[in-house]
Amino acid sequence: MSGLIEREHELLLLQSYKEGEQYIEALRNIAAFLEENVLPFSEEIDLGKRSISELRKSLFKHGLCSIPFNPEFGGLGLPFSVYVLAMELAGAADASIALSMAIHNTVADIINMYGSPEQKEKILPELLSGKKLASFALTEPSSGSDARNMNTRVEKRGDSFVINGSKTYITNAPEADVFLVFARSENGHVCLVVDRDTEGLEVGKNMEKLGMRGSTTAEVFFSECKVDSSSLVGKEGEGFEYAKSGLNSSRIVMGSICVGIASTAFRKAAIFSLERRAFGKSISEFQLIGEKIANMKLKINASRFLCFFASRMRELGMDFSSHAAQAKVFATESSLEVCDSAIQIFGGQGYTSSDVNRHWRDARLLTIGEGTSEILRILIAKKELAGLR
Amino acid sequence: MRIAVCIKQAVDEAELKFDHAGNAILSNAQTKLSTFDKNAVEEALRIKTLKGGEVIAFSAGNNESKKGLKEALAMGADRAVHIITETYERSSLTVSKLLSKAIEKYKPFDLILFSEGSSDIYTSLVPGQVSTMLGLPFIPFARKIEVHDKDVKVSQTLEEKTVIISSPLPAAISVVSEINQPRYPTLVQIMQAARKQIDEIREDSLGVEPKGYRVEYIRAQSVERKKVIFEGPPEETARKLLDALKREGVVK
Amino acid sequence: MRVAIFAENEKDLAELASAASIFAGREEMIEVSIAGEEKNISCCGRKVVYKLKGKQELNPEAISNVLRHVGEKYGISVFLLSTSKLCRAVASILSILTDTECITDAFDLSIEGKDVLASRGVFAGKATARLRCSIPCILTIKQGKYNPAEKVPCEVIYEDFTPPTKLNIVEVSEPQKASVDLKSARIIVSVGRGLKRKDDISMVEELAKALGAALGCSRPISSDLGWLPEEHHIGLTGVSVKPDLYIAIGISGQLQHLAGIKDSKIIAAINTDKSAPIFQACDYGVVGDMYKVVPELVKLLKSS
Repeated sequence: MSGLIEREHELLLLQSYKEGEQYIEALRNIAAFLEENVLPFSEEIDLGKRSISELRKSLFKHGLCSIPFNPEFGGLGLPFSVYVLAMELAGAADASIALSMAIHNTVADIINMYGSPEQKEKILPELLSGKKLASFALTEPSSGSDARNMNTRVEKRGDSFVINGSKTYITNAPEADVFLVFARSENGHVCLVVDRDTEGLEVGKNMEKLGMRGSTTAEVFFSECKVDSSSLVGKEGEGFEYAKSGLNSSRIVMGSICVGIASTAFRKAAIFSLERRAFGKSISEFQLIGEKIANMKLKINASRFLCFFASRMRELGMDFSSHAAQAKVFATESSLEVCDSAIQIFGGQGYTSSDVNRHWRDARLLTIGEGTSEILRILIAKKELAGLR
Repeated sequence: MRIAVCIKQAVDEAELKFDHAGNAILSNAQTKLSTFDKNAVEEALRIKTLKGGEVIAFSAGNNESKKGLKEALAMGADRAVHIITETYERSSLTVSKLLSKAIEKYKPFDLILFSEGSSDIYTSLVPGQVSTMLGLPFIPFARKIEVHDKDVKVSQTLEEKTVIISSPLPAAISVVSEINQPRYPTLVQIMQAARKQIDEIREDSLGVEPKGYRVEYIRAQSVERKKVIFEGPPEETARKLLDALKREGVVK
Repeated sequence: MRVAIFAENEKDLAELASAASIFAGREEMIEVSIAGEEKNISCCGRKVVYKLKGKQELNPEAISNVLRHVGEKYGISVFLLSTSKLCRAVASILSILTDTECITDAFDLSIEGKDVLASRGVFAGKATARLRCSIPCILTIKQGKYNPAEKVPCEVIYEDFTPPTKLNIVEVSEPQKASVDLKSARIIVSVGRGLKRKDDISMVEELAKALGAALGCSRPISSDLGWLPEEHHIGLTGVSVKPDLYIAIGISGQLQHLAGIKDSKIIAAINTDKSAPIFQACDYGVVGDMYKVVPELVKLLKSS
């Protein structure tokens, strides 16, 4: 059994599906693959000694990104929850790779939901197989949480769209082959697929980050960047709705990646607490350590169930925006607490060893990216109050 | 080229638990496809890629065996045959008889492949027994296999010698784990494997009388090690280690 | 009852004869030789000699047919073979040719009525199984479990028999000079994945030299990386050893490796990873960099 799967019964979540056994088998297989091919390199990735690109390719080849998509486009046609649990395993093996693939898949998800049949047929197979890497370009230097208020403009000129402006903190940008760009036109928000080699598109330098150091992040500049009208996803004016919808699902995935990060930190700390001796006994026997262990596990499992709950709602076609936000807020914040406890249990070694503290640094991104905890709480409150009016 | 590959769903030795009396708990024990059997499946698939044909996986065992067969199917085997036995414990001789009777039903084969031994019991008897029952020449411990139209050339590593053996086809070969690096099935292949057929044959329909060794008990190997661990600067730990080994009288 | 023994070398034969003594007296033991010509000295009362043509002495099919011939002609109840790869293959074929039961890697033999009881390691050495099978039977005897019997003058009988076989032994590469005898080594220094480069083996060799030890390794070093010849490989699929002292350097301690060293009297380990399983299976462990600890050990050994 793979060490990445903490307990067999956590997979039982999937047994309620008719073909659950098969999903469990698939996840076991992913766990074994990640454990052998990704986990051993996670520290090197954090220390900048290894690029994630080859490992990411092998995961694409393995089918990690194809899980929830239609077989028509090279997908596996499995429930979204299977994908969410697979991303938890990926997060447990290496958070950077998981993040990079999750962002890539958000782009695929939006094209799958709102793209034209031609766009789907052309783009999705390339994305699902990993032949092309995608990047999601929404955030701007002057508008993060207030993304709707973006400054990047797009102008319709004849049969083309011309983009001017800039985006920042764009994951995958330095390596991406294709960008999903959000901009404003006189008719409202627009969502466009832009190839990397389009004239007028430039990518800045890879940014230094606190964590998620294996993933790449950069600014993207558009100057008279002209794309064909066939690049338009969905309708002009509805672009921001697509972004919101894509982010709703993506939030569940980000929560799930954090569950993975937390479970790896937990496992390391729990094993250490059993082995480390102080005052003549294993430190796990001290109640204050025991309390930490219990709380860590509580938070991990509660987060996991919130993520599963939200993904199940998506599968059933229900409005899951509040639940996705709840899953993300709780899972990301819990993950930070779990990783912090792990550092505390390791003591000095936790503060100095990248192998322990990178989990906290990796998780730290996700109370900010894809909707800050603060903004998401506003969303949850609004949604829940609206239900009572 | 038709290739049969015999595999075993083995008890996962790393997960094996013992009761208070030290007896191994085999009912409901965690199982896995015997580690080296993946090499046998991989070799069958490699040969199929070169020569075309069909790979059929055979496994005798209780219901757990389905998992191993599914794994072989996911790796790329075309079909699978499950000889259903009631319990996990069967002597090598009984398993060999079951396998050879089942293989007879699917004849003809050009090659029968095995691993060198199972990762749980490792008697390494089954390959030779099945081959002999089927009347096939048997080449054990193959490290390299070259298949021609009418014969096969095998490089075999014994303890101190490397031997090159040739045999007419059909033949049976057991492979060592160094022969190749088994592939990981992708998710697509796992999904496809779920749709491939696993034929079932009931043990009692083959008319095999259980024979061979019987298990009296399986108990934990109890060698208690001292587990004295030294940590600190190398010059200090090296000295402590050497002192301890001198006290034990194993270093002078 | 009559017992026939077969092995590829004198040491194994002597151990087999010793194990056979629970079944029969020396005069009822037959040593089977395929060497062609033999001296009249053996651990058994009789030696039956076959001459095999065309390198067939490495063909398990030919050897098992020879043994069947011996069995039929001399009324053998128990065959004892060594646990070498060749002998395992011979045992498996012979068990079908003679329709007898077989136990491999057997030790602690005892007789109970018409049955033999034998122990063997299972689950990569985590457990011991006690097995029962009825006589007649075939046993391959785990090496190093029986004290070698002594050789005395014996009767030699030459047989003229050509065993049937479809196999053709094309080529046998010269047995590599046995540069290492791990089975009888008193101290073994063994190296694993912690080794960063092939050239660094010299550092470990220096420690082996200072201790008067033989050099072993775990599977990755011989099989995957090819940094040492296969004969150095210790573990389930390699050699099993039982030295007084086994020092595992940079070896994580997978079950397959531990299976080959569990009979060691004292196991010491050096590894950087404190959570490596080897530390659960050793008597003395040093958590530290082998590249620092090993030179220290050499220095200390040289100065004393």
